[in-house]
Amino acid sequence: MPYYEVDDSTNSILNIISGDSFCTEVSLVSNDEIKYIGKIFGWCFDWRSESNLIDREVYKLTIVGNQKIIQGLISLSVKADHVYINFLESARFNFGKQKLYEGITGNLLAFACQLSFQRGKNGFVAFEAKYCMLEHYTNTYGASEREGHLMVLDTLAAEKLVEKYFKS
Amino acid sequence: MGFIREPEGIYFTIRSKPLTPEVEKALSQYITQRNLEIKMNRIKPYFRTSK
Repeated sequence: MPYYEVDDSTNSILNIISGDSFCTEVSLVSNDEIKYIGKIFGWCFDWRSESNLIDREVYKLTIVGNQKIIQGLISLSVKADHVYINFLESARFNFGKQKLYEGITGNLLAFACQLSFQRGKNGFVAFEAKYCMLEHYTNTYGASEREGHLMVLDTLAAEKLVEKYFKS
Repeated sequence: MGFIREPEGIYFTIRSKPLTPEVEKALSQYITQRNLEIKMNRIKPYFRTSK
């Protein structure tokens, strides 16, 4: 069974309405930006508290040339032998039936894998998934399930994701 | 660059609880084992032929 349902003709995120695709970039969220990422701005998780924790790194996904509009956020901890995803969230306008862009999760997961390689963790990434999503992460991203809904992307799965998203 | 489609109508979030020491230990053992398996699978067999 193939891991990926891929449309090779598009770039990393796709505008659902226009069908246009856009290149994306991932960068650290600055202290100024974090003021505008809260529940009153439509985000579900408490990203401000998250960014204050010492062992957390919070990154944003934006479209190249449009750094102000955040498409998704991810909070990572670099552990001894893997990168752990604490939180991942798409912007309010990117989920549900009326979402504007598709591909946010894949982009951010691929970034976590790339960071894992860069930090010498051989691409290993772990996170806890919702029960209804276990099969999706297994079939689509090649993650393997461990105890307690813990999903692990190993070197092979990580290489495929990084190849797909970061090597054009 | 590629793009992965997401299933319809699902709210994509990850909200992981901090790992307990037991789970972290089990995860480390799994990672060590997978690292070894992947490394072994990547070693090409070498056949020496004698003349």
